[in-house]
Amino acid sequence: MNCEKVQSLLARDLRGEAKPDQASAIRGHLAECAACREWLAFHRSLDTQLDVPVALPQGLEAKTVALVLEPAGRGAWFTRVLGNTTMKKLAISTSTLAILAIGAMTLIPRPANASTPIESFKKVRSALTRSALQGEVTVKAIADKDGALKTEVSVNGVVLTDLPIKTEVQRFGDDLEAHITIDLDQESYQVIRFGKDNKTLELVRKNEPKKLHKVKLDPQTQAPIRWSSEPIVVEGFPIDVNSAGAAAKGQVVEGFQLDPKDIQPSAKVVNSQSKQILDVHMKLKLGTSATAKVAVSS
Amino acid sequence: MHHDQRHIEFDLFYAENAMPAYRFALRLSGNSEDAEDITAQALAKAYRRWSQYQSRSAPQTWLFAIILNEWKMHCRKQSPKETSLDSIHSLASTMKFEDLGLAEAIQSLPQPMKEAFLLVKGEGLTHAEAAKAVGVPVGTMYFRVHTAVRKLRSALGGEETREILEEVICNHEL
Repeated sequence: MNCEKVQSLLARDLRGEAKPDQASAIRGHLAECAACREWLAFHRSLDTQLDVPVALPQGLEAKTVALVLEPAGRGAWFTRVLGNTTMKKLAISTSTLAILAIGAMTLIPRPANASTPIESFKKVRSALTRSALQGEVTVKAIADKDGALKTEVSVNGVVLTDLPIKTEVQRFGDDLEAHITIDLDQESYQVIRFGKDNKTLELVRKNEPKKLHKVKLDPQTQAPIRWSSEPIVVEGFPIDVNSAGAAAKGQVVEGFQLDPKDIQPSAKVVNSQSKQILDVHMKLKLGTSATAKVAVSS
Repeated sequence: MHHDQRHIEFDLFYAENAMPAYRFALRLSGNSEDAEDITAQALAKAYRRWSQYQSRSAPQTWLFAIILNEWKMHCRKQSPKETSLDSIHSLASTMKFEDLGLAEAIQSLPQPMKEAFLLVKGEGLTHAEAAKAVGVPVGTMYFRVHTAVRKLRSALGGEETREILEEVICNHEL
């Protein structure tokens, strides 16, 4: 367990809420990590500072008693309101609306699988892995004449606009070598949380702390919904990873060395058990485009 | 004070719940007058429904949920009475050793994180209880409390905190 993980679990551990294996791992880590012991000390100092009684205001009890006794006044309110014909009609129509509203609310189905952000994240990861296994993930790279590269990743013909995708480019004269990585390893994120109204999953990568990525979620299942956009048009040299000899057997690809002088698009996939990374390597000339279909055979 | 059974029950209820309720309200509002109003309203509402809360686990969870609700209604009705410096002093006065730096840091937390922090670290609720009181998933509460502690540590000179400065749509272009 790394420091980030331990530090994120300390509040729970101090409340006795950590799972037994987590608590054990935390103890083990703390025995060897001075930085995390400082975190623990900070937590304890907060508890010490805040776990103290405060003096109650003298008038609080009397105020509370007066409010508790207030229901005696409500009879007068009802008489005032319902004695008035207009107010009576308004009160009746308002209460009817309230009943209808409550009825409508009970008919709206609750989410079938209310889940935590981590569970939703795993569904996103699982959906992408399944798509890769079926050969539905397509990566397109478009290079302009100045060497700027635009990349698009799509699943089943639909472009993913909300998933954190990292692109690194090297230029060798007129040739570009692009490394496109979709990294869905949970450990790579410092933030995994639901967005507003639980309609999106918000992700912040540890190595890109200033970027907030959002994945749209199905409100019922809190799994990723179909990422929606215009379908892409395939151009250039579509490459099937398997036919290029870079098929993976569910583990790290025994890839071929990429020669910068080789202008043919190529791709490799890394999909180890401990990480969920789809890593596509593209080579193309300035002013051209190329696509690769990512597939992992198991 | 009357001495019939009902008021004996109220006395017991008040003795057990008034202090944590007021402390939470004071730390939320940073103002003793507002905290007194909010606490009285919340205690009165909670007392009327106490028999139904008592049958559930952690009845205090519901008291804190009512306090949060009263605080939000209070904010909608009127603007805060005191300056932020007074709020900091009020919050610091609820600590074992008055620490204006810590009080300011807590006061500066984003509201959802401040609520989460005060419920779990200040009032000793479990994350699950605090999540129920606030009405969010427990995972959200884990995140809020941890982020709050991280921000406090950073503010007090512990370590750098990475801040999310803006939301961006994932851009594939370099």
